[in-house]
Amino acid sequence: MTFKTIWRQLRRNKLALFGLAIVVTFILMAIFAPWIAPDDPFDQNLRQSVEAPSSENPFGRDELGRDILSRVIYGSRISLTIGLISVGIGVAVGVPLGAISGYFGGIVDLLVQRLMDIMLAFPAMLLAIVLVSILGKNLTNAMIAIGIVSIPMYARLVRSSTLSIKENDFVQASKAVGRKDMGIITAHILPNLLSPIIVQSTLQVASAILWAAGLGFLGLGAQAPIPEWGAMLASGRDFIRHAPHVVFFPGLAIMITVFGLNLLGDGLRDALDPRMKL
Amino acid sequence: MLKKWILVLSLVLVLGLLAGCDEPAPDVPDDADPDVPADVRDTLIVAQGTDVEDLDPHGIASTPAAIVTEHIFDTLVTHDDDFNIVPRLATDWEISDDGLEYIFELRDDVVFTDGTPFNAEVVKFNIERLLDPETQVLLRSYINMADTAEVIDEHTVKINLKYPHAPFLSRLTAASNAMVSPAAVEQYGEDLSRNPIGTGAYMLSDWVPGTELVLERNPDYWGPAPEISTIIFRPVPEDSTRLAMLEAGDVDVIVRVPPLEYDRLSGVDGLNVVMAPSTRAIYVGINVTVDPLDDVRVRQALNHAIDKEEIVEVILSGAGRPLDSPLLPEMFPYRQVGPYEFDPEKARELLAEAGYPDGFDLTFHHPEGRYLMDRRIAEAIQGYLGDVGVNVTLETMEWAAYLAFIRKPIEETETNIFLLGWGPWIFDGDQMLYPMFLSEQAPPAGSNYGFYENPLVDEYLIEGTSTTDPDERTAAYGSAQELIWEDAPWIFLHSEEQIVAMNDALGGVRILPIEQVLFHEAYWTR
Repeated sequence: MTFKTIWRQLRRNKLALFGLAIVVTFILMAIFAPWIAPDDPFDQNLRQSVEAPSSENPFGRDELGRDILSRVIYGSRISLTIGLISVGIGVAVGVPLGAISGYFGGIVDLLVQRLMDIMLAFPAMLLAIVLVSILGKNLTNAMIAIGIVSIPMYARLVRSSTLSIKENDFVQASKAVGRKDMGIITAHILPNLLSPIIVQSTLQVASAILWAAGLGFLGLGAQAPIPEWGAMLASGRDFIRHAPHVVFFPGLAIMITVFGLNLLGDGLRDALDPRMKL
Repeated sequence: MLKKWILVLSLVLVLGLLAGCDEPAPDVPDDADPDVPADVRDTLIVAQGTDVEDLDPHGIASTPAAIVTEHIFDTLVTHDDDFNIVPRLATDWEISDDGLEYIFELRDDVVFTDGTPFNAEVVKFNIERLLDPETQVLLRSYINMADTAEVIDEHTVKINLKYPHAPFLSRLTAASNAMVSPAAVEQYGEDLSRNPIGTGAYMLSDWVPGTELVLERNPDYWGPAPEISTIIFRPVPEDSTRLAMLEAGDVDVIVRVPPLEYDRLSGVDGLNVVMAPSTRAIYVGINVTVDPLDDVRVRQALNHAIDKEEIVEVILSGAGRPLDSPLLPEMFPYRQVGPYEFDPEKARELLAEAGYPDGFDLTFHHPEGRYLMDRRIAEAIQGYLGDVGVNVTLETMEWAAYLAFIRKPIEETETNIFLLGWGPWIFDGDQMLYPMFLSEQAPPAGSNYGFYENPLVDEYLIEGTSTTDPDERTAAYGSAQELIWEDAPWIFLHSEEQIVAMNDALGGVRILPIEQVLFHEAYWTR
């Protein structure tokens, strides 16, 4: 399936396009943050603490008098990094595990899948909290923890797809001509896994951003003064009655980004699912 | 027809209004029995942040517990509102010239609520119980300079000290040194906490931990009988719940009002919101043994880099006073030696002089939820120090883990700078300076967590605690305050103010700077 066919499918789906627009804006905002942000996100100005939105500071100022708009813009960098790295970890570990497990079956399958069952038995957020507590509270460890939590989701997904792909004639033919197992997995199985992985990853980035915000809110993720959206929500929550803008904008940023990624993910699933094709 | 109805309706409305105006005050019936006061309200409900951990005064260490035990028990001496030491169970005292013997004359009209008479034997028993290693006394540092107690006659007792200790009288005012009934200790042993028997104005009537603690007026109290007959203490941990309960009239007094709420609450009708000084000093401790914090210029630079006025004004909404001495104005013998002016330029110069023109990295450990706005203060300090080139990494820690972390001895310590508060229960400067700045009080021995060491300061502090002459003490502590200020072993921040809110019909509530709120003289005006 080429990029062109995916695009053709996606273009028909208005909601998915809307999601794509949000995601593209989010990525551009992250890349060009230093040029877009009107102010230094770390510039503290206590006497202007929790100032309401104005023409000078469209999103107002936070509890330490920092420009919220700039912090939200810089926050997109943090969230994008969290999304990419934690999903990267999930894919890098989960996909090989799933492929091997599904391809070989037997005792390997049993061991890998029981291990994944153990990980799935814990609620994702709880497992992430435990991991961060063990590794130490900071942004890097939060990303690692979220990456580890998403491993079983990939392993499960890839295993089930592998099970059906390996029954195809081209795999059997490859086996018959004596190709090595690893060669078959990389040459025939993995390329056919690409579409479910892309769909899963788009949705997974959204979950990763949410989990990271959750960890940040609990003080386990990004540490001050990093402008991570969840941490911004946490430090602004005391002001929710006096100055709601302090929590409103970071919260809105999380909501819009996660919404965009989910719309795009759903659209991609529709576009890539062979059964949906006419 | 319609007109008629409108007329009737209007009449009803007007009559209703008139009736409303005419309503007599409900409380004062004309034929009231003169023996029963017209105002029958004599119960008081107090919401504190935490429950009481212990009602055996010798075992307490928290302010919420002290507030309750101070109503049930009496100490030998106490403070008046000007911080002078005044009689309580002791009427008079004499101190020997060497400062080692304290002879107390005791009241002869005092009886515990279990009928045990209060006398010299009781004092001897209490001092011995406080010193007995078998008794769990968390604040033993308030009594461990005492050695023995001797009965001279029924109402005269002598306490011998191990070494001369000028603030000994002051220490006897601490709530943890109150007098308990020996018979009750005999009878209940470990369960004294559930059966506290004292000589105080109130006695325990009911205690459901976590729910409520009820005190009833002691009919045989030796002092002036309190007006309020029943005081109910309720633990309500959530700040906003406490506020809502007060505003709804479910409770009459709340303590520890968040400063952010001060302005709004002050505007609420029917409430009296009091902001009162507290002797809790908040500071950033500096580990003076690590590079580059061992350089006094660096430590002074840190002090100049932070705008304490701004922290107090903005983050604490005014509920604090910037420190201008290691002691607070309420303490003996305070001498103003500061402040460190907010001057980032000077801070940069000092850093450059010390060889750090480009700054350096520091780790700042701090608790969260222990002191007023602690996390926000830590973040603001991070911002200020960043401005002069000191790159600060914040480490938020859970309180128990944090205490264990900063209490490590010098070989094991990993601290750079750390946020702490210190709120002594007495007003003698010794309890502030000695544990915080004496070199031998470095962990694990005491609370000199930054390993500060200045032989001259040590000398002054030891002189101040062992000399009984107030003038000599003033001179020694004055010099010590100046030296400590100059050495900057802390980033001196501020002292907290306490905000207490109550029904404005309530009078006579005493709010002490040691964060105790006392109701012995409280009364309802309506």
